[in-house]
Amino acid sequence: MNATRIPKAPATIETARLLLRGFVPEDTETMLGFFNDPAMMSFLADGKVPSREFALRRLSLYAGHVNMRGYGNYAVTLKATGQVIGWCGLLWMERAIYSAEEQAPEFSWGIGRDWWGQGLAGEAGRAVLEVSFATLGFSHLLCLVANENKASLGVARKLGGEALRELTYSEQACTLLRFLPAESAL
Amino acid sequence: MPDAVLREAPDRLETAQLVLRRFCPGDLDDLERLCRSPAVERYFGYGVPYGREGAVRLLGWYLGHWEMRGYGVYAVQRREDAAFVGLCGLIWPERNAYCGPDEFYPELTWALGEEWRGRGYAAEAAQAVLDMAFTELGYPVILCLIEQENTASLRAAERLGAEKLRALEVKGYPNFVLRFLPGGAPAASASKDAS
Repeated sequence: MNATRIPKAPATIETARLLLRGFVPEDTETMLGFFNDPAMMSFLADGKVPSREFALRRLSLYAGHVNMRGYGNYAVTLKATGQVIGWCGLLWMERAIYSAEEQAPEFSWGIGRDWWGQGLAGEAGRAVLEVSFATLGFSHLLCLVANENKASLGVARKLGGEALRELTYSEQACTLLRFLPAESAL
Repeated sequence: MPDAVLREAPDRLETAQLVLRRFCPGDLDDLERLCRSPAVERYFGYGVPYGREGAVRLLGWYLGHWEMRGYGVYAVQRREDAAFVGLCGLIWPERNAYCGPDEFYPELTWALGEEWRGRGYAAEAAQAVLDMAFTELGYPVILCLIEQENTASLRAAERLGAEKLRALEVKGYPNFVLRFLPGGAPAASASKDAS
């Protein structure tokens, strides 16, 4: 993919209960809380406690990624209250752990534990997948989940993710999943 | 909170030999080349191969830093032919968390491609950024974190007027925290006013 073709994702995505929007610096405190929850951040399990600066740097990356790639991670907010309850979106970091054929944006999400069990991750995830395939035209997406994280593996499978292979990342056994556009999954 | 303040830096600075401009999405390949230089892998990546992935991470962060804070890191170009020679600018880095409360200021960062060293480019770019940080952004202090074995960068920083504050270990590597103050450079020859 070259820089002349930057796909453009919508600035916001609306679902029945959620509004997905870009990140702003004011989201830092809320996101820091999520980043400090090991259940939401499998790959920070190296004993490091994310600091406020870590959160700011990460939010900067999310904002910068949208500028760099034309798409990225959204802040997931509740339409009813405006509250930020997590994130969901795509990041293409061109990570060296993937082969050239595998390379594709990674689909990821995290919903704060106060909002678990209501199908909100699935609702946000479905909306992002639809934009990714229908609007952005990706042929496939990747998704890396720690095997310990059974809840996320469940969500990924329910959303249509199929296991590609196992790998060790950040000293953890992980499953690499692939998402294809709905029609080619048939 | 000092870091919550959005400070609008100019998108472009000019010096005698260089143009510093805000990073843009099209800089990824140039940045990747810079990230593959041994010194950048060693000191930015702490010895971990940086390559494409490092460049993506760096550029994404730099672009977002500009958006979220209003200042950031510049792509440094040679004035005569716009050749990409490196990067120089200010970051509000994660590692400031290790610093004391009176040390909560942006850090100066810079890196030049191997082939561009020894021409005074780094000092010229850094001086322009420091002048801008003190006069336009109004910071009273700019910090700098340099590994103790990176003697070339330590010398460059001290020539620009930096003073060592203390030693600090980062990811197992001994560093020095250095501090720049306004008017600290003994012979501030090149600045953005030099044009």
